[in-house]
Amino acid sequence: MSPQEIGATGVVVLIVLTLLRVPLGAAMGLVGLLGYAAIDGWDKAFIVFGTTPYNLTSYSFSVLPLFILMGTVATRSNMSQELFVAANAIFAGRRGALPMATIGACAGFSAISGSSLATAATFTQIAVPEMRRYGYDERLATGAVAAGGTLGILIPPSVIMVIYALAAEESVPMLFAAGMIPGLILTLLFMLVIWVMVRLFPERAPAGERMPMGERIRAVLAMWKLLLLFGIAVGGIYAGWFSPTEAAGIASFVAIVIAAASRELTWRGLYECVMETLRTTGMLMFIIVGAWIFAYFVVQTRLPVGLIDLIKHFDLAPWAVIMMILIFYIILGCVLDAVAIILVTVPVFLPVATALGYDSVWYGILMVVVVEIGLITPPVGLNIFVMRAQLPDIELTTMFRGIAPFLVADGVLIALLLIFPQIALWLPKLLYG
Amino acid sequence: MIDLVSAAARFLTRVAAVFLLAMVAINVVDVGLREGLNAPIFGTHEIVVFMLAAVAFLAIPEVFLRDQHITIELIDQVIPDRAANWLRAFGSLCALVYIVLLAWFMGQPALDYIEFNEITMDLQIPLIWQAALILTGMATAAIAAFVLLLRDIGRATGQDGGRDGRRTE
Repeated sequence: MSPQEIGATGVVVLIVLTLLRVPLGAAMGLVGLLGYAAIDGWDKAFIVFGTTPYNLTSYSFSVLPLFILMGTVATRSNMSQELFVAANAIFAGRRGALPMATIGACAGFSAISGSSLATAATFTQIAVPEMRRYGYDERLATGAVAAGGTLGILIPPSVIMVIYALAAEESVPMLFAAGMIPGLILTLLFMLVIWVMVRLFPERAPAGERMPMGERIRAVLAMWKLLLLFGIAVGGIYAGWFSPTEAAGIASFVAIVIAAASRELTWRGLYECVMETLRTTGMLMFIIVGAWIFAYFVVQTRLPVGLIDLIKHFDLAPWAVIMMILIFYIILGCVLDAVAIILVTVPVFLPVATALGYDSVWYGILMVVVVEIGLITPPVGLNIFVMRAQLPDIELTTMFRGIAPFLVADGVLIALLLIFPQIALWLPKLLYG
Repeated sequence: MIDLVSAAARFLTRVAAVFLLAMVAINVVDVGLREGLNAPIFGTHEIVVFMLAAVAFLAIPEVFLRDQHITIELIDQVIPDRAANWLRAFGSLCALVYIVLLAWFMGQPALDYIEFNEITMDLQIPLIWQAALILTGMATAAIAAFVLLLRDIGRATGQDGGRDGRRTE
């Protein structure tokens, strides 16, 4: 077999193993080892295999546990509740105020949590009971939370973006900057979806209670914690004060101090945050080690080169190739989770995209938007399952029906990114030239 | 045996916790000294990388014991419970094979660090210290993976006896 045939076989075996419930990290590592050995012999394969975990212990990876810690502390320390109250104060009095507030609060929370699951889980507890209390339709209520949750991986700081940056050897600050405008656009598009839904089906959203101006201002001012953390974590990087690792470390520290000073975080709570951070980091590192071994194998196969040759052979337009990759991602998103998709596909498709002239930062943002669709579509819509675990009395089908209109917004954002790449690239170019 | 491995895994996670908090602290102090007194801590990057070895790898055994790895549970939903249990055991077996091979072949580079006395550039920290942390995490993870496999086989054969170490805390 040629290296490219071995590569294609390796990808198929990887998919079969993951479907057979082999842990993703182990599946990628084993396929990577066997594939590398098939091409270059066992001796070299074992050297690559044995040295990979040591090579991954580099400074750029240290940003990962620190951002996870910041998000975990923020999630546990009631900042989400204050955000929801503040967002509600902005929209109070309008029909559909609570779902819009949910989207706004999710966008704000994304700026400190970095995780889609954490955002969805948090606002399931806060927003859904509130919306049910006021008689909102369950489809609208759960759809807004599930969709809002996906903003967690698009609005910086985002753990998924850090993972993409590490896999693609891209700059974390550039990716964070690139995610900002698409994140804001998607937030507005989600709100637009709610506005349209409320116009079409007014019975699904009762008119909200009005709120006095003084109360509104007080609620909005309570968002200072969010602004401070976001300012440190993201603003500090752009201002050139900190490296991403330093920003994550300082933001974690400030999050702990704020939470403790507000009496929202006890010693026990801090211990649990640290333990949760370590387990999440351990889980991610186990996958990353496997993904790196798999990536070394993919490089040996020259599979991306083969794909590029194939594209040239069929004389496909670059946009058509990107569309095909996007469709593949959406299908993949139905069976794999976001981390898996990024780590499995970046070594194969990123070289193809860059060879076609696309920017790797733009491609990363496009990927994040596409994988976030996988978080809310069946059968592996993790956000939906997290919500279902907390709302066992609401049917999964109700939740999936609720999310359907929001997928239109995701589609619009993808189309905008394809037509106007500057949406993602303008800010990083402005900040970093 | 489960209790012993669980205790060891929990101990390692707590060691990692100390390193994580120290990592936060060193970043805060370093930036504070750099911005305030123009006197950054010498070799901060190397210290952070050393700590990362503990933070990233010492919690992996607990991830195994709690069965927190990312797996795709698609087929589980359409096959009988008994077959799903065997599938789970197959996944655990693959994970065990992988982690044992990994831990084994990580040994040689670690021996090379000792033989060639490899050290970091600024602080001259012996690389074997860092490697020892990573190897400890991986070797304990291999034992944890073995425990997980035994548990999954027990469940698949109906000999589980109700003892389940998953999500132990």
